[in-house]
Amino acid sequence: MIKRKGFFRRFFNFRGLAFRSGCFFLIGVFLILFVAFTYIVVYAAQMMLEEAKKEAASTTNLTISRIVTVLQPIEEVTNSLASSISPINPDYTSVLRLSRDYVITSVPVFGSCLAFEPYAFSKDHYYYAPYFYESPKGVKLKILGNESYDYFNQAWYSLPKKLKKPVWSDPYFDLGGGNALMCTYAVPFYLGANKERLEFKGVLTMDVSLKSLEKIVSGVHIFKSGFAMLVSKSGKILTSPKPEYVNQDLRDITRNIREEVNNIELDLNDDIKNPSQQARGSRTHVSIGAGDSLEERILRGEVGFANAGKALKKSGGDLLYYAPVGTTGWSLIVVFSSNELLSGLIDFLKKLASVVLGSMIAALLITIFIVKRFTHPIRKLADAARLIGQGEFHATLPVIRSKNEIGQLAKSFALMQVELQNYIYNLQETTSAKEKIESELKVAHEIQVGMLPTHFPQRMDCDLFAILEPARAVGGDLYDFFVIDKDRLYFAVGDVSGKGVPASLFMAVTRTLFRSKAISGVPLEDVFMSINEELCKDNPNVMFVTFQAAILDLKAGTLEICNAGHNLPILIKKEGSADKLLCKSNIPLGIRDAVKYHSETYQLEHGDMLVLYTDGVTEATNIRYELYKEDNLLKSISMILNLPAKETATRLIMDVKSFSGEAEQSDDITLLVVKYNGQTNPGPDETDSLRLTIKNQIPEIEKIPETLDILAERWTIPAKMIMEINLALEELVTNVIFYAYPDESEHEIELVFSRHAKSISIRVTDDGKPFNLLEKVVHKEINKPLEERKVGGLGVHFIKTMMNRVEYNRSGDKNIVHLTKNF
Amino acid sequence: MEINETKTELCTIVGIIGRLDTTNYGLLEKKLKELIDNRQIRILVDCAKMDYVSSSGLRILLMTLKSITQASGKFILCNLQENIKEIFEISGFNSIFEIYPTQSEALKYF
Repeated sequence: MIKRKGFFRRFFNFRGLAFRSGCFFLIGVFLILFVAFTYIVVYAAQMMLEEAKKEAASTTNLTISRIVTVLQPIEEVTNSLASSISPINPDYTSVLRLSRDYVITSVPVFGSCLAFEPYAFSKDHYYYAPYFYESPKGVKLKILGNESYDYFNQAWYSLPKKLKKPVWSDPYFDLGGGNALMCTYAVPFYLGANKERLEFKGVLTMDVSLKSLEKIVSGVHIFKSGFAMLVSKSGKILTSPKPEYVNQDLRDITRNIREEVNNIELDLNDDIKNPSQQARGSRTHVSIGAGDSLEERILRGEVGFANAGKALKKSGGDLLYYAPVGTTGWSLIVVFSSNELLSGLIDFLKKLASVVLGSMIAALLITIFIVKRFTHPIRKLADAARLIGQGEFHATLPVIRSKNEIGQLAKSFALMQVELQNYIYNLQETTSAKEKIESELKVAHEIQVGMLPTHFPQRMDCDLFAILEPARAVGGDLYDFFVIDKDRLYFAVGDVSGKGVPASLFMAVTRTLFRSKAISGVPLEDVFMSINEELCKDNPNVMFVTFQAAILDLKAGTLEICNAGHNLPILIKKEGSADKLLCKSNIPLGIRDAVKYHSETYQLEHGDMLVLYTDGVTEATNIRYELYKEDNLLKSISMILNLPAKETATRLIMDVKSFSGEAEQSDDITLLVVKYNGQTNPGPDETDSLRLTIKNQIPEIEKIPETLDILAERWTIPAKMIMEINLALEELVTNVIFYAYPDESEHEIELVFSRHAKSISIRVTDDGKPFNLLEKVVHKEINKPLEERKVGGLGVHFIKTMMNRVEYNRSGDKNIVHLTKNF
Repeated sequence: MEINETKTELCTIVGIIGRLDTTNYGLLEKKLKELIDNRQIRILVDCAKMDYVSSSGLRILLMTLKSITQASGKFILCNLQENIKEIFEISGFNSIFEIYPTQSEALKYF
């Protein structure tokens, strides 16, 4: 079942080319056939209608002639009997005898009467009308006319008298005589000596049973249910296959049918049609009511063919053919249905439609089959393409030998597959090569990082910290430090030329050599020379290293430094000045053997700091490819004087990074900071100091508590005292920021904290307009009640209250405030 | 500095946590102004966790006291740390503000 469904789906792929082209083709064919059929149907219907008219006409004429055959002898006999009555000497007896004979011999004639005018037969008789009629017991005579049956007013008597000519009466049911539906042919007769003065004396009648006519009329059949009716001049129906219509008025019947049908239609209209259509419906109704001309035409004795319309069609027949019946004034109407007329055609069309539909489905199947055959290779190609897309680059392509467009496509496709295979092969090669390099860089990086010492000395006399920020897997920088003989601190920074594993190995060799040579205790110059000799010995890649090493005597504060082509270090004096240490530069290690290296010696003071770095710092670039340079480094150092080595190194590195921003780091960044603290226990009068520079912006004030936290720990200051200093400084700096600078530009406020034996002093320097806070008088505000209290001036009061001493100086363009707080 | 706010039937308790100084007094000013604008003029400031205040912070407290007094509200401080108490004494603010050692005691005066 599933398999069959699958086949169905596959065959009728509704989006496929086959199904679509098949459908388009069939829709086209269908439209053409539809137009052709419509034409044929309209034409055939017209032809059939014409044929039907002819048939109806001939049937009608034939029927009429049959009726006439029956009626004409009766008319002729009656006429000749009537005319045989002599105007001067009438022989009524022979007329009566002859008429009685005729009643006996003629089948349709039912009875005959000779009716006289009052006293015309004899002076004794007002009424005199002898009547022969057929009864089951033979022909009988009855004298008609008495007070209850005044035949003078009967139509059969009065009409011929009035019209002075023979008349066929309307049908009537004769209750007294034959108990049957009949009509009467009445001929007037006249007496008189003079031909011009003939006097009406009575009528001779023949009663004709309609049964005999009925047989003729009911013998008419057109199509399935077509029938014929005989209508009298006044519109009464003489014979009809529908017995209920007999003796009714034709106009009444048609009107009733129309009204009935219209009422049904109007009811339907109420439900489904909009008012405008209802209006149209009622208009139709009106036209039906007024359109009685068809009936009139029939009764006038015209010959014609008519379509009585939808109303009558529903009741059995809408097509009419009518013609007068001889001289009787009657008309014969043949009625039949257009549905039946066209039923043959409709049957034909139904058969034709089913044949066409069948052929179209067959055509669709054939089309799909053919197009599928054509598109089969394309689908195969599509399958192959999907496989290739999924990564099976060696998927087998369908073999297509044809040289048409599909063959060309297959050829291009095969070419593409080969190209793709080649491309993927190359890509794999490249990728594996790249991966190899990546892993090599990773190894180099691991060697580099593994070499670096990370346990910094924990000593009171010196403070050392170093950071190496590697660029992406490039190993070139190095730093090292160690202490020999308890108070000789060796430290070094270097930068190997080149990258990757060779560079990191070279770096490792350099460091190992430095350690091994230095530990033996030889002078620094000799250490450099022997490292150089070793590096030059076996150096096929001609690699070299810029190297800088120093020995700091932690007791004496002497610094011996030797520089082999490296960036000059920066010396930060404890009082705040920072500058490059202009030591003599030698050529880098590993370039040329037998070179002499020269070192230089400096004297450091307690609190001095030395910053060693590689060109990764000064050559750091930002996204605009601008270099960081020494200027920025010096500026950054000037902002953070007198912090511990770790904070200093960290802040400097952060400044470099914020300068670079989004730009990728192109080289290793190495920074080594050594702070010389000298003897471990500061004497009672010995001072230590720390400098803080802040900008004239409110958020900068946060740096004050941060710095005080550091000092609290370093100088062991009680919390309360810290808070008081903080309060005084905040008020002071806030004042400066708010009032000292009328311009909007950036200014710096310098705070130098100093530790004395019994006090802490803070020197606050700004370059704003002269402002002596001591001149502000504020004391009087303090004791005022709430309503009079002003908020300003409180800060100055705090400064004065919190500090033990406050001094103000104006020096050049600077305000200098000295605050002192005793322990 | 952080500020938290607790509404009780008696009053709104505003807790100040951390340092109230020149860099952040605006936050407190905004919060108190908001309360007064919403006709919450019964305010208790709990200073239990306020460990620093400078004149900028005091200025806000004084301004709030003035506007609440004018509006016939109540503005009380409680739980001042020793250091802070000292600052209040130096500034003379201890004589202007109603200050109680604990929150529960302060709540009695609403």
